[in-house]
Amino acid sequence: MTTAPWLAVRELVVRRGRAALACAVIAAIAATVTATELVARAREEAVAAQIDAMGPALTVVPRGTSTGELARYELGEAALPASAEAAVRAALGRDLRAIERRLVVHRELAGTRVPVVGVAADALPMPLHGPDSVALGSELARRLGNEAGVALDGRELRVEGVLPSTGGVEDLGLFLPLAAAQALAGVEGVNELRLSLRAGVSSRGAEARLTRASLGAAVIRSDRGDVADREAQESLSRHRGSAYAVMAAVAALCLVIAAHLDAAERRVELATLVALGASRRTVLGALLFRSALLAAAGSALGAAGGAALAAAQDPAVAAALARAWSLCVATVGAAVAVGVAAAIPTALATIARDPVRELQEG
Amino acid sequence: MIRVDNLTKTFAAPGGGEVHALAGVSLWIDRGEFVAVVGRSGSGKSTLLFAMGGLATPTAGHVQLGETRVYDLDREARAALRRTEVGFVFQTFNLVPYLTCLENVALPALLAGSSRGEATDAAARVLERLGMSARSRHRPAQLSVGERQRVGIGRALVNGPRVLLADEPTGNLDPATADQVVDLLRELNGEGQTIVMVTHDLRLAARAGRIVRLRSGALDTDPPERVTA
Ligand SMILES: Nc1ncnc2c1ncn2[C@@H]1O[C@H](COP(=O)(O)OP(=O)(O)OP(=O)(O)O)[C@@H](O)[C@H]1O
Ligand SMILES: [Mg+2]
Repeated sequence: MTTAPWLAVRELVVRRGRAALACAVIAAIAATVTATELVARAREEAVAAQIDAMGPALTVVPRGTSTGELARYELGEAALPASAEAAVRAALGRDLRAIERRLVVHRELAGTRVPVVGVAADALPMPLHGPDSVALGSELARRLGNEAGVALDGRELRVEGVLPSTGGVEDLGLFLPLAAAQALAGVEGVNELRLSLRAGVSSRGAEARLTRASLGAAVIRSDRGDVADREAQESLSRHRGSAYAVMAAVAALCLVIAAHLDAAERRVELATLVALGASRRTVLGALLFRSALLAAAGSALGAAGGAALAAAQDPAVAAALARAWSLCVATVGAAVAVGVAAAIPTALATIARDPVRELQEG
Repeated sequence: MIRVDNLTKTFAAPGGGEVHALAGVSLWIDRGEFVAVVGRSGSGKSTLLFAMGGLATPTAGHVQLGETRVYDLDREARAALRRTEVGFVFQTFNLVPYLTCLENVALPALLAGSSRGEATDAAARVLERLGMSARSRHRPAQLSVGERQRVGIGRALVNGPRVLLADEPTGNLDPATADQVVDLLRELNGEGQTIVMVTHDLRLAARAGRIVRLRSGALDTDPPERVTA
């Protein structure tokens, strides 16, 4: 039983020159697939990050039915039910990419009512350190002008930086750590869950699912997030699968030809093996294993090369290279499966031949 | 020990009709015999040899190896029989080109289920016996044709088969080397190895213990012929 892999390894190692061409084609295909996939993933992540910066696809807020309730929400006195976040995760599952918890209250500042937004300490481009650390929306920063500090409810605040403009109400906001906002409003929970969806997931559909899930809260959909998601999907993911299928077919064709040429050249050798008492399984195994090994070697070389190439060209890929190994493993695994499948017809034809005839003709 | 009973092998001729490669051959070969099979080209020598080795299913008749009726076995059981009971030697050596001599000789032992260590030890002993130890690590292409045939014989011997079946083992060798190979076969026969050798060289056939002559797929003398060396 172990003779088959041993023979295949010996044959490929000693006569590697004969397998070099097929190996090179497989490597080129694997390199193309790996590089394309890695660059596409890096681009998708970059686009997703851009979409996040623009705003969430969906926002979950407390439901207000009367003017009084709405006012309480505006003041930050009404929080979402504690179960809302778990209900959102259950309803959206893997389609939910990120969830950001916020507490939004309103206060007078620089002569206007501004949204005071409690966020996670790492949610902004600049980190917030401690309860007095804040970041300003660009419009609020402009209105405050050159005033050295900011005071809120009589507390001096340290400005860590100004956020890039989004063109929305956020530009007027004052951002501070969530715990500080909760202390300010005297509220335990949050009153806003900002949901980012996986690329390609329709925000309209997600909204419908959340509505059915009866969160005890209102769901607001942002068309902007929806459009951006769809654009990302259009530009990146749509046709990759079919391109890879074509590549796999080319690889399979190459391996079919390689297996055929190999078996044709080794007819006498394989018939001799049968004469020596090799079982059909051994001959079959040696041919299938050889093809699998060829595909594995070619695709491993190609995947490594493709990853290196993509990383050299694209800094975003280089940054995410540590995660590329799973893609390389998947590429090699797929190549091995194609290699085995490609050799099956030739291997079956080989064991069906009359060994005596092969020996007489050889 | 080997009993061939009314063996017939018929091929369909390409243009229609039939070719009778073997037409009712009966033969008895004792343990320890060295039999040469001679005859014209196309007389059925190779067909008889492969049929005796369980590789060519006859159209009619039987081959019995020891107690076993070879063609009562299924294909896998016949492969198992070839692994342990039969050693084939070929005119063109048919060594596996990418394996070393040692590995070529070890191959049948590996196929028969020996561990790598056991198979290598057995192969080394055989090569030693054949005076080929110095060539263990060489590949067939690095050897002279006479040395290749020695390795081919070593490969046939490694599992201690009941019978060595050699099809024109000297066909690709110059006369001097051919004589050396037949010397070797005679030595092995002297040690008790049963051998059937196909040849059309009557000078070499005369050095075997017995000559069996085929003509158009039938024995040339009255079968069953029985002469001991
Ligand atoms: N697969 C086959 N199909 C058709 N005819 C065959 C086949 N194998 C052998 N024969 C025919 O059977 C006859 C005997 O062939 P065989 O090879 O046994 O002869 P041989 O005595 O070994 O000849 P040589 O000395 O040339 O090797 C020949 O006429 C040959 O053409
Ligand atoms: Mg012949």
